[in-house]
Amino acid sequence: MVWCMHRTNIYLTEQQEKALDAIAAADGLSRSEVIRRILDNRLRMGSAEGVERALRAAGSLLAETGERIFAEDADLAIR
Amino acid sequence: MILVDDRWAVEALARNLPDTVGPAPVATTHAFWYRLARALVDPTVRGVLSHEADPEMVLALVLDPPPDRLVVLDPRRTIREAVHAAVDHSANYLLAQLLGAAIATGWPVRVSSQGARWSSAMAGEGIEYAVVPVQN
Repeated sequence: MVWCMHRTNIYLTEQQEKALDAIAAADGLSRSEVIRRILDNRLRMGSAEGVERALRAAGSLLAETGERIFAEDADLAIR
Repeated sequence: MILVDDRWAVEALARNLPDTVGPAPVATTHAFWYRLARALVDPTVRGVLSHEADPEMVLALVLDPPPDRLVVLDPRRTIREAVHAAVDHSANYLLAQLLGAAIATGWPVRVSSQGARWSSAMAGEGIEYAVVPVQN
């Protein structure tokens, strides 16, 4: 698929470069693919503010929800 | 990179990480990722989500997390360390994966809560570890 892509150069800070390399190593991807996925995710989410608000709202429920769901699960309970 | 539990993972996805946990992106284990996704399909949580956004959009964000916010470690990278940790510390799958990930990567660990054996197991492996409760 390289033939339908456009080459571009970007500048990254040292911290961004380290994070990019860590992500690429963790996911087994090239630097370019990590950057493309970040962009794709951002485009797909559109206005992400509602989703982020929803996550913050749900966050406080997660501890009790997880405790209830996994209470009898020997593998996944916090014990 | 910092390793976090499911509770801090959701805060990372919401771009709500405090300095006491670390800069994004943070990483989590496959087991914590599963716990998070499973909790988000719970009817109670979905009800809360629906006030702000489409619960399926929220779940999609968790299932395919933006790598600039959250990285899910491939368990194949850490399985050797995890199984040894399970034996050495009588750890369940959740803790064994977290120990294995920290040992394999050398990354510090920040969790919102902990089990009875977690502190001693982390200390025994020389892992930089802290419990940072989420302030609601």
